[in-house]
Amino acid sequence: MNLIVLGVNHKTAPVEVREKLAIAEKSLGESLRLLDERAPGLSEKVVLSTCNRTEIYARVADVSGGVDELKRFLCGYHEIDRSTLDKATYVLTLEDAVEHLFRVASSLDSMIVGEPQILGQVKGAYQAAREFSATGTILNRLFEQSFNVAKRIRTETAIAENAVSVSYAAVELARKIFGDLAGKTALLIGAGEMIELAVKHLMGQGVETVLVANRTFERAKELATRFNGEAVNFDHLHEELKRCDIVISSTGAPHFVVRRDLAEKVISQRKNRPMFFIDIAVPRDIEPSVNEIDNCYLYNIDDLHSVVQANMAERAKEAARAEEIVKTEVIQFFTWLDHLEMAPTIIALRKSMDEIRKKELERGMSRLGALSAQDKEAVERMTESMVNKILHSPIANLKRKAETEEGHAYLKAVRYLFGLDH
Amino acid sequence: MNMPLIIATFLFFLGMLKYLLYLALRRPVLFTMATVMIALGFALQTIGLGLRSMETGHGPYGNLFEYCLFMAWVVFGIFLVAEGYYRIKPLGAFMTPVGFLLSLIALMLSPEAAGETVVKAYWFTLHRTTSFLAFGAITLIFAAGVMYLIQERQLKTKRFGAWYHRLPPLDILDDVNRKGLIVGFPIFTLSFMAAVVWSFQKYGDVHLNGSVALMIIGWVLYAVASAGRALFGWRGRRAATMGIVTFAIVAAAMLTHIGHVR
Repeated sequence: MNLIVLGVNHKTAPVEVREKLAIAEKSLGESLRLLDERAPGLSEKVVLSTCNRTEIYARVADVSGGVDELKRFLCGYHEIDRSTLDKATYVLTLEDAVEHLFRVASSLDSMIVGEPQILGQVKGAYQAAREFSATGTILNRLFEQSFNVAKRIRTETAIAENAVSVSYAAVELARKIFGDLAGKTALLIGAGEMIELAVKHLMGQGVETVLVANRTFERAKELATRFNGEAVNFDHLHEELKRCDIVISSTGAPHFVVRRDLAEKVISQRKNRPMFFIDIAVPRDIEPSVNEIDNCYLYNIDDLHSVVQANMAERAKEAARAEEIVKTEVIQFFTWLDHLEMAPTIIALRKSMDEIRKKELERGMSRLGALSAQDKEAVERMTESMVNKILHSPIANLKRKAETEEGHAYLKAVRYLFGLDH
Repeated sequence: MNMPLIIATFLFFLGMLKYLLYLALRRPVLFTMATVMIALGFALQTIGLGLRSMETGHGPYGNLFEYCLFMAWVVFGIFLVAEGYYRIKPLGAFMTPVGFLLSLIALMLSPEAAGETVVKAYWFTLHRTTSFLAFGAITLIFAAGVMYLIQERQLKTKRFGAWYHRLPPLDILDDVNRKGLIVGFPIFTLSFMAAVVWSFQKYGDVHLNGSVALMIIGWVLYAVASAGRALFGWRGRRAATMGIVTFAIVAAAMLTHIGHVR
């Protein structure tokens, strides 16, 4: 028994190659059926294809044969030549394959470490393979465990905790200031793609009221309807500000739209309830010294970038811890696998020895000539006990080793040395 | 010395260590272990204090040894409630050291040391009990205040260190301050009035000394913070700073208060 994974990902191949090897979700079933037909050496398989990777996980009896069948299948299926495929793909076996899947499922192998989509994609790939009955004991267990690993990493490390995009960083900061955003009011001054993205995220977090101000009232109205908000008069901004908790500004104005003295006045009208200003305009819309006012927090676009950077660094730290978890889980998987393979190996070993004994006994008997029934039985018993005695310590030791990390290597060695796989 | 108290202090130490480690490493298992240890320590300390009271025949405020233990007990009690209520995970790292230090000081003091003559009077007992509770509340305000100042610095200076990722939102910390004042101030005031009533009943006047003066300053600060908060919207950094200063003064007053009964 062996496990392999063959694939390409964003690290090994550019998008021109990846897109050629991608397998669309709707043709997953078809590809599994074709695999059955053209790669009979693969007794279990799962096809995972996302925009950053295409990977085939399989259980095979023989690694090089299985890899060759798979590659030939991919070349035929995608109509690309073998050398391109060879250059772009990686092949991992056993421990490496298991570790790889665990890392993929928990988003350690992703372009943005910690992104949440990949787990769903792995689950989808597994589900599709199951529906097609392409998986069995080994891959079922492997994939189920990979979901647990991902869940464990998500709860035990802070890998996905912090925002790694500028618009999410704004939301994260708002939450660090206000805690819960439910019932809060946001004011947008100006327009722009980033502003809209940030508002969407804020509303997703429970921000209740969105006010929109724009130099042209028509434009404000238009944006307001989009966010189910309320257009306000640009010239009356100073009156509206006091009911706003979050202010996002992105106008093309050459001067400050919100000055320090205005912010000071508003904060005292609000009885010091905090305000969060996000200034994504260049030139800036909000006077920088607003940040010095107690309970006012002002962030410009560079500040938001520095939050993202800090969060990335934090993720990298957490990723190192996640790798440790993956390592222990890999060992766990192989412990299970050893237990699974132990019994059949021992049975096969006994059977093969017994066959040799019987064959040799038959040959010996015919050479010995006529023996009494009693003598025959004595010889039979003697050979049996010899085989048992010879096998006793290898089997006992094998069972003991199965509990350790080396268990799998011993099992493989036994199967190889005694030729049990042929 | 009684065994449950020694084991409790040891558990407090382990729990505190785990909270500090949790703050650094953020492994959930450390947090769970920490809470379990503090809760066990608290239970043992409760037993220890009960045994002690049965032995002496009065509440745990006969001498400085009992005083420190009782203060620690209240701090841990309020901590456990606050942790359960707010689920602020780093709170333990800021509050348990106060409780642990008090328990440790107690263990270094002689349980038999002379204290005050124990007065069994209704007003006096009320004074004592409520002043301990008020101390617990101010310790909570102190811990939240320290966290608030650190987190506010991070957000203002935009240097996002490890603290930024570990500490809770400012609003929650400010809410601890608010609730701490709402609950703590009336209790503190009650304790104050009880002392005055008792003093008048017994002596006909109020005896002023250093410790009592400190306590009055503490109470005034508490009052100013509460009033400022309710009337002028003093919150955030100002409220946090006042909380920390008030805690320092009240703690000093509490620890020097023993034996000042005439």
